[in-house]
Amino acid sequence: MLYEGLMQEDSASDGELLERMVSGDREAFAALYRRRQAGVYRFALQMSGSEALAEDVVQEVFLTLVRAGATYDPACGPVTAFLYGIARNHVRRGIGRARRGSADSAPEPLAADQPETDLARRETIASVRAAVLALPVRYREVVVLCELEEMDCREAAEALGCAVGTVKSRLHRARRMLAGRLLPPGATLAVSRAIRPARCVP
Amino acid sequence: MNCGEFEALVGDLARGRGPEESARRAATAHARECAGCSSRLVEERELEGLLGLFASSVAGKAAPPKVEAALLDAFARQYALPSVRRHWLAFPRWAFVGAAAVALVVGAAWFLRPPTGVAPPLVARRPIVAPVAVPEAPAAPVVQRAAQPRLKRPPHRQVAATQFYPLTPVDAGAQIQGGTIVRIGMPRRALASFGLPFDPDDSGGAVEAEVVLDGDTGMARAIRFVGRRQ
Repeated sequence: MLYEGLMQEDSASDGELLERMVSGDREAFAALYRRRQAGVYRFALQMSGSEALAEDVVQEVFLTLVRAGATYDPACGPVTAFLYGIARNHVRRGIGRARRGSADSAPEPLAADQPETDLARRETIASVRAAVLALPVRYREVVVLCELEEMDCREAAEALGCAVGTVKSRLHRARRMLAGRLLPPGATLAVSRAIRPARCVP
Repeated sequence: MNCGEFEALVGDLARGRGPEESARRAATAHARECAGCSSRLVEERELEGLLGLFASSVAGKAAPPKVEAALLDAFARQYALPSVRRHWLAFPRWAFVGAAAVALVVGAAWFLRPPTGVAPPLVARRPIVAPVAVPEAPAAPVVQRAAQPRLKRPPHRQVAATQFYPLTPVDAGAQIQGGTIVRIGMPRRALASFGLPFDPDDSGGAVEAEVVLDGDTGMARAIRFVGRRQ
């Protein structure tokens, strides 16, 4: 019986779970939470560099879902877009607060239980993390969703409430910025040369 | 394919997503022939590797279990509420603010509506409040106008002054000691509030009233209507 229930929750779509949740089904809420919380948490963590903020964001997102889940309109996009839309607002607010309070503005150090033991690897990760965090928020969002959360451009566009073309152009620009920060100067020079049509071999 | 077209595809090419097989083959062929685009593809792949490394560093991260416990608790509290209240809570806050604003505007419009001539005539009622004893007018200093050139005012159509009606609760038979009497204009409709007769067809005008202000606090204590303001 329990197994059947679990199977039902595994196979149910987000929309179905939300519908059941709104009618008071606790297990449906728990299933939806377990399915989506990690993605929301990582999005907030990679956007802000703060585990505390990421935790708060997850809590706020799902609290909003509990309180206002009935206002979700499937015509406006999938449940994930609804969740990431709320998360995005909270992250932006959190980043704004952190920026105003100088003490919190620096990204937190890597957690002690980080499995990375190789120092060089850890340093590389830290530098990529710093480069991602240095991106303007609208570019950072597309990098986090498309590159780190591996959403396709359509899903990212739904989550961000913008056109697919906008996501593509932001992603392209963001990758250029990251390349400029992370790759050696010689390589960056080659990047700038590469877009000159005059050097093109037809 | 030229470098511009290659540049549009290079991100997808490095990530192994997106372009169709034919476009992929054309881009790869272009990169073999163009040194700049070739190094651009190498850099994109390098960047992809770095981002992949970063993504893997947070791959297993998730919110701690205490968050789930708190949320399930909040869920139980929320759904323990009666469904009607829950429905109200589901409305966004701006909906309540909007509803309040609409109610305010409608209320103000109703209050300030122009008088209509079709209202049934009000029947004169007895005063709804007990009259209050007020010292004779000379005892209270009336607001003096200093020696100003007297403007010729249109003659009042005099109506008999009413008794004073208390505006604040007073003990029966109590007298207001001291104070000031000021004369003000009020809409004629106000007469109805004190149970005094007035003609609804002629309710647009104003009446003059005398208000007794408390000498200590300045609060309006009593009012009487003394005539019609032209």
